[in-house]
Amino acid sequence: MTKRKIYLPNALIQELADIVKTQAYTALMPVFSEVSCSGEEASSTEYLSLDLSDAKLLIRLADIEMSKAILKYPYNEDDDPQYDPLHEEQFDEIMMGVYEKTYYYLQSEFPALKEGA
Amino acid sequence: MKRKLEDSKYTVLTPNDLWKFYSSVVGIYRGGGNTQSPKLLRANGPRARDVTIVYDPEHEIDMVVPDSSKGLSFASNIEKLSKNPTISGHVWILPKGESLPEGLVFNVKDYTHPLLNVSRRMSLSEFTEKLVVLSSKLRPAQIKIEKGTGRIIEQIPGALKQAEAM
Repeated sequence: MTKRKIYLPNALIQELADIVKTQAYTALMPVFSEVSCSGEEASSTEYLSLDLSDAKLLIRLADIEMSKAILKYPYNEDDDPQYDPLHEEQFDEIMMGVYEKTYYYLQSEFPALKEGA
Repeated sequence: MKRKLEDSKYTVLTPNDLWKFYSSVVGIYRGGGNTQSPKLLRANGPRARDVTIVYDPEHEIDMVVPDSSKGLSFASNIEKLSKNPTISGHVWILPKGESLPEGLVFNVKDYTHPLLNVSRRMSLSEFTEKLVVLSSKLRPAQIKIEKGTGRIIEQIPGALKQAEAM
């Protein structure tokens, strides 16, 4: 498959790169091989070179992060008797952050992902 | 006026454009809320990842600058919130006809997924104030998206039908 330059906000690229590195996700290492995580370049990277299979792997990563958030912050809902505001804040950071945004930017460029990765 | 989305480009909808563009919906939805709030803001302010924030050294404050590729996510229908991805929590609606505070716009590349952002450079505190005003205009849709499954749960019987006909 042909790779294309896909826009993602720099902060999202940095977060994804950090997860790939710390979790040692070998399958995604090539995607971030040219992404600088430090120095001036780190703050300017706004494109990743991706094909559909790369995008599917990133969606898988986003799903894993969301699954972890569900397991780590179960008391995130204010109508739950065990509600914990800290759980809500942490859960939202993941859901409205790396999870939702990874889906959004990749689905915008790869419509096939809307049918399920 | 009927605006058309251009492939791979963002269309910027001003407060005047919004309901002309979304003329066939009853409102636009915000997922991930709780029972009290649509949570456009965190306890300590807007999420930095939603918008572009730069530091203004002259005034020593953070400024939010227009960026058509970013914004707070909304949805043109409830189903959009339920899967791929699942945005769990309570759904809130900005009913059609409600005005956007001056200085806010929606950036749209995907019709079903408008992004709320600023139309002009403004301080982070001004942006916060505008989000508070906008929050007060959103109404609970009485619908909750279940965590993990994406199941649409009506908080009161008929809520889904009511929200889509509001």
